[in-house]
Amino acid sequence: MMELIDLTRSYGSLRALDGVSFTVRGGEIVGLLGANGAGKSTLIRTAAGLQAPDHGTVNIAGADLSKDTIPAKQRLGYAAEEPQFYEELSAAEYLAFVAGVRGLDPAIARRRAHDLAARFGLSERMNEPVRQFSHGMRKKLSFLAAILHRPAVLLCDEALEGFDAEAALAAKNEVRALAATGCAILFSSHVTETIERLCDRVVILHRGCVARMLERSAWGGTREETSALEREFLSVIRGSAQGPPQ
Amino acid sequence: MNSAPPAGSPFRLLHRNLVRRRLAQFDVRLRLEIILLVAIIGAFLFWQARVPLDGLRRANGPLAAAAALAVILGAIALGTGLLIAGRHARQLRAPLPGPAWLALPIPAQHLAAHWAWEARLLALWGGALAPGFIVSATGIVPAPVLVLLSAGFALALWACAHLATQLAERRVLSTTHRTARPADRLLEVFASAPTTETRRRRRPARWRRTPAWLALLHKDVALARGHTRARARLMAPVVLVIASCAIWLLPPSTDRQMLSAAGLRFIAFALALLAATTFAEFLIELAGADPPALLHGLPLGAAAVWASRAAMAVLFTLVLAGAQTLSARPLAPMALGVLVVWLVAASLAITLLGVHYGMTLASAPVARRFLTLTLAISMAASIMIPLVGWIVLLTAVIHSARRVPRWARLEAER
Repeated sequence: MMELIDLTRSYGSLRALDGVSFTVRGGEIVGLLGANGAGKSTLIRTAAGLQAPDHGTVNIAGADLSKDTIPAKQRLGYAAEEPQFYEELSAAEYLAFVAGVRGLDPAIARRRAHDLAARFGLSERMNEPVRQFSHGMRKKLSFLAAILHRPAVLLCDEALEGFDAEAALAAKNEVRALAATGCAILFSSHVTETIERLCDRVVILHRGCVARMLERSAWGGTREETSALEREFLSVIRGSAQGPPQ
Repeated sequence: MNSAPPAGSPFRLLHRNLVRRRLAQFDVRLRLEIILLVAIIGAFLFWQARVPLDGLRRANGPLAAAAALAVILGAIALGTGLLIAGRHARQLRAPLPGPAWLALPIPAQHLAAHWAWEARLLALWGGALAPGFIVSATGIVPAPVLVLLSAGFALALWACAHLATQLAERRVLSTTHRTARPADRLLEVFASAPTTETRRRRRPARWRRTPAWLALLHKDVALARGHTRARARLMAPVVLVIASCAIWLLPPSTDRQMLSAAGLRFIAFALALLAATTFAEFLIELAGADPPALLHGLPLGAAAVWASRAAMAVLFTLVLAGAQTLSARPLAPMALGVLVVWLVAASLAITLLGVHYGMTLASAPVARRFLTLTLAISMAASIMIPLVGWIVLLTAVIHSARRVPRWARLEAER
């Protein structure tokens, strides 16, 4: 579970977050919607511990992020909007480093990394320096690093932007699977359709404040695994693996 | 060819904004520290130049002192010009940082002029050295001559800086097709800068169960082995350690002071200190390569980061001391003991200073500059009053260590 209590953060005279409070329960996927500059990224970066709030508290699975920083971050996964890497390390070396810092069992971490890489279409590129990766591949790697340790709380900041359709579907499935194991997920996106189909609840930020909180029943959609277009696309992609179109 | 951009050019506005933004990166405390450091260096130069200039005036008259001052100022202007030329040539051959310049409707000459302006900013450092010498000549060189020399220095620095960028540009252009027009040749230089590299693969990753600091250390080792700036920085300490050991292979001579046993010991010690300094720069480079948003999102504390870098500092010091112990056989055991003890203390202090500056200062170039300034002040202090340099160095290590726990906050503010 993640609790955000009265978070306030200003940049000079601009108040990016103004007393934001809400909770993401274990097993719940909460969408974060808002216009550009509404404070979504500031909120997620603050919740991830990348910047301290001017006021307020972030609780990650029972640990106060400002006091029990290390235990809190052990339970946290963060997929960045603009991920940064050690450009010269290969994707596998980077994931091995993250696993090492998190103290994961090497054999299990390696197996999971390879499994995830296969599902996200990165297997062939795992031993190449990240510097050679496209934007989409960098986003995938950031997402993989965020979920490698099966976090108790996952923060996704425009995490699926740049993913190809197959990887986006794999990511959404992974998010749902993590939620099923009790992970609390805060999922920020510009794409309302993704939020609509993925999330149980939506928080709408406006000018740094929580303008509205909506339960799934409010928009009445259903959790579809794939749309008709996605199914069509996947049939082409998976079909091409068996041979070129005639 | 690469003079200032034309009047009304948006580059003027860009330059104004860049200068304003870069100045804004230094907080008030840092600005005061920089002013203080420049003042201390000025005082050191004053101290070093005043007595010889006064001696010259007494021996050969005030004009001889003025001539000596003119030579010093000329050398500063010339040296600065050389640095600017080197930097500009490197910039022109490298991929242009910033926006996709070549996609903008900007003539290639204006782009070159912009990078020439960037390179000429180095002249500020040359300008900062001169006041110490000029002030040291007050009362020795007649005031009107001193005013003329100061104005002449400003003019020479300006001319050297502009000439340097022009020469660098010509040098770079000389490597392109001579048949093309200069503008096209410039464009060719910009367009042929290596923007993408051939696809490389690295050896398979090693998955290990380690404490966090050791995982960081493994990562640093991997970075130092790749084609990185850190690896490039590692070459200097390796070469200097070898050189400091190779000195002992020279046969001691009683005829020439430099090659006497004491002279060899001094050279070996100086080279070893240089090795430690360049290794500290390597540690700063590693810290500079840490992406803040990445490290800060991981369960890492300042202690783990410090431990991983300090381990490298200790390891380097052990290698340095071991290599000196093995190679300095001509020394008596007592003298060898003194050399090694001093070397270990100095190397640890210098490399730990690099660790602290790398962790707590905003960027690698700023940290490198602070390291250089601190060591320069330590050396100057030791030359003025023996052993005072140690006090300066250890104070710097302790002061910088106190900032290390703030790493998490500093890192987040980058």
